[in-house]
Amino acid sequence: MSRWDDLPDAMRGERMDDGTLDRLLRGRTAPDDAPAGYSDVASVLLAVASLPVEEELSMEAQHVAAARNAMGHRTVGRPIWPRRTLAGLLVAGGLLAIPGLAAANSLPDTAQHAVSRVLDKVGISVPDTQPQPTTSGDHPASTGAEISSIATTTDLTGVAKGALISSTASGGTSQAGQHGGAAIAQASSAPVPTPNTGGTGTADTASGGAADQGTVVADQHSGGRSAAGSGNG
Amino acid sequence: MGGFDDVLAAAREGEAWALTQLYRAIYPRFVRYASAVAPGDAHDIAADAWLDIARSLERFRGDESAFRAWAFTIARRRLLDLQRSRARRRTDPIDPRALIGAGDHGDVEEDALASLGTGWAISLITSSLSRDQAEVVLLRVIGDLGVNEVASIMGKRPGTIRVLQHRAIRRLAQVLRREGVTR
Repeated sequence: MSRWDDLPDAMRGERMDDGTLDRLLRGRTAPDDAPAGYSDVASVLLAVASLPVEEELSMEAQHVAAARNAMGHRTVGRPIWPRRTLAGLLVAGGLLAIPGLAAANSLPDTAQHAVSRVLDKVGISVPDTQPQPTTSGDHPASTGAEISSIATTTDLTGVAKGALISSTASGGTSQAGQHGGAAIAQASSAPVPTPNTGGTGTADTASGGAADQGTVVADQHSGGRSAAGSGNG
Repeated sequence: MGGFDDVLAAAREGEAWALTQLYRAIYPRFVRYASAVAPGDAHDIAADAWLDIARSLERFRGDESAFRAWAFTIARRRLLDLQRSRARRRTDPIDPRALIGAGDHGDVEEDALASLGTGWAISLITSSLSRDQAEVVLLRVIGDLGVNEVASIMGKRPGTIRVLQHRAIRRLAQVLRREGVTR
């Protein structure tokens, strides 16, 4: 009596050698080359080991891109770290280049002045370019000491002295005293109020109080009509 | 996959062409291997395993054969994770692992005999063999792995794997003869 799973005579009692079994299990045995009774097994294993079908590779592009993202490569063929390194090099290069340019006095005036002051604090001396005023609202170029010196040493008196002090304090923008002669000539006329005392204050502050001497003198000599020290605000 | 070392080195640098070669070499195998256990989730499992490999590529050392064994170790771990998570879900009607070695599935085999496609062949193996026999055959055929590599992946001795594969082939021959397709 034969059972349903009886093996054919050729297979009964035999054990396939390891080499044959190995080729069969790697899907490399054609059905016609398989041992007796194993041709269909060979067909099944060939089917399992067949080349990939299109459906199995349908997500290839997305999966490769996902793998690259998972690995940290977000830009095609260009990892992130070189860009960071480049940015760092640019910053470091810039920081190193600024003192060099300052030493060569090649920076813009304002930057040159700023760098000069910073480096001066750490004992490095580079040329300094004093920024020039660019608008009438800038602070006058003259210092208080200079104004004070003029006020106490000049031989000028009256309108001329006031005009010199005012002009110096205002960096040349004041016209105070230029009409002092006319003011003296018109001394008999009614007093004319001083239109603007701002320049006086500026000169006074800059000179520590000495600068108003000229203004006072000019005012006295003009009967209060001198504009000395005014108009430099 | 000629020049495997070059491909691996380029893939580690994120070169798309190299990753594509590795992908084509292993991803379809993962899908077939996973489909034997969890047909509905085969692509998801394979994709997760692929990403695991990409993340771990820097740590891999070895040749092409070792790479396949390493990759299938990762894929198998993914499968086991899925099975464990499903086992914890009360709403899961069937443990997919039970599909392997569940015994005779005559209807499945009869339907599948209409086509000698890959899916049918995998179904025949999983429905005809014990769980260990089916896994040995699938790892050897789909993974193109040797006895020692399969033994390492499954945590068994090489001698055990040889016995399992001999019995699996004889069993497959018996089932196919019974079905009347023996030539």
